Amino acid sequence: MTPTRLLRILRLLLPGLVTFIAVLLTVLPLGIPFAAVVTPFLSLMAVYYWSIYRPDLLPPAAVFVLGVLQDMLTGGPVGLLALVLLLVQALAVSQRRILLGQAFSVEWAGLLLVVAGAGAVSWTLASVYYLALVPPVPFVVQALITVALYPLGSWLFARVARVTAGVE
Amino acid sequence: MEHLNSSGGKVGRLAAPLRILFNRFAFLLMVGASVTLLGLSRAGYTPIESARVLVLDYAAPVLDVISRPVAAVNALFAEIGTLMTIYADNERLTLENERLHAWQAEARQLAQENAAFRGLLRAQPEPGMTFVSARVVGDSGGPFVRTLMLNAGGEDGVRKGEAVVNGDGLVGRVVEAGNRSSRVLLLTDLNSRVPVVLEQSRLRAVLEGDNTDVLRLSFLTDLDEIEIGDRVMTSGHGGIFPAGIPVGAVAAIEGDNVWVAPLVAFGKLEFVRVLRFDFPELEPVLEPDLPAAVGAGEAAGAAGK
Repeated sequence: MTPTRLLRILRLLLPGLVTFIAVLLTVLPLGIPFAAVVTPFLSLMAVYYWSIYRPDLLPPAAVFVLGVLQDMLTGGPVGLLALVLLLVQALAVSQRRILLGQAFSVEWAGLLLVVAGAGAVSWTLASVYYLALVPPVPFVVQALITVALYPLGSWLFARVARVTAGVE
Repeated sequence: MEHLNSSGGKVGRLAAPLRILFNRFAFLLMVGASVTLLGLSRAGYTPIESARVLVLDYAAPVLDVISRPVAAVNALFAEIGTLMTIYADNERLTLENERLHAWQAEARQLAQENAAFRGLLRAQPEPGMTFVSARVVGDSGGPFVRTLMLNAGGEDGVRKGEAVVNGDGLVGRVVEAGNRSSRVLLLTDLNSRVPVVLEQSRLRAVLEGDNTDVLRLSFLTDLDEIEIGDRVMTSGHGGIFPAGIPVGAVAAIEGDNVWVAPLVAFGKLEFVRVLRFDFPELEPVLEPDLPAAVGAGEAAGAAGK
């Protein structure tokens, strides 16, 4: 394998790697008073971003594996976040033609809708899973933090996306 | 190389509709897999539990390494914070120390008195307790569950079901134990149920979490006797937790709902202790060396328990 090819493969793996880091950061004890209770849904941000800009580099199988990993790391119902992230991906990919080339505010508004939908779906799934009405407040808090942090996330993902530009 | 590239491009062009079809199929397949996993997880399918423990065991050392710089930065900020209040802290601690000296004298006297009474009553000694200290390497962060990951597991003596405490009080209990890591279900988790007793009224209740920062008392018999500020501690019923671990204090009473503020700051946990507590009933009954006159009766009583 030539060094150029190896480099190319590494660049292809970057979106998956970034999402993997997002999953790990979610379970890291950061000690920030506010974020300690509920951390932002970083992997959702990553899946949303890559579904718009490079859907070819984050296939459904990768989203599934990363979702299951996050489920297992957090100790929640296995398969729940995998399902939610897959739905996020499907939604973002279906709307990417509308979102591409628009101002950032449109991308941000799109995320707001996706986060709201993901929150509603995960709350419903969790309530069915535990056969109890799970308190909805933490879901709302997580959605708000996620939306608030997205500009920063998007900016960071854009740096990585430059590296992957032109790679197929 | 040139040839490879051109042929690759051609295949890519031809396969575009196929690729979309394949992606759609892959998506449905993955959704199906997620739903299946959810069902199996709900049913408590053992391989999923084992996979979870395996992931925990592999992830814990990695998280252990990454979380150290984070902890160091946090410690630095905390130190800067304490520098600001060092004078006030000193004053407060001096006063507290004086008060504690008085308490210490009283505690010594009570301990002696207690030992004397126990001797008179031939009371069963409380089971011995040892502990394993562990570092918190991860917390769940999601809105569904409240769990922690520890860097100690079966090899260090941590077993499923053991109580986890820190200097302030009860943190939770071990729900999964890998070889070198374990998972703790916090008191605040939706699925956490702890049998407790109120210090003043001696009322028994069950402390429930609901994924928020406050806890709720349920199965209370007499609401009138409860006062705000009443301390709550483990009752030892059910045999999961040792009795007398402080948990929190009654913070609010709203109709039938009694809310308890926990003593532990769950967001700032760094080190915890896992208590190894051997419940007396689970131990094989050993014949004690008792004086012959009372031996028979005592031994029968113990065996009947």
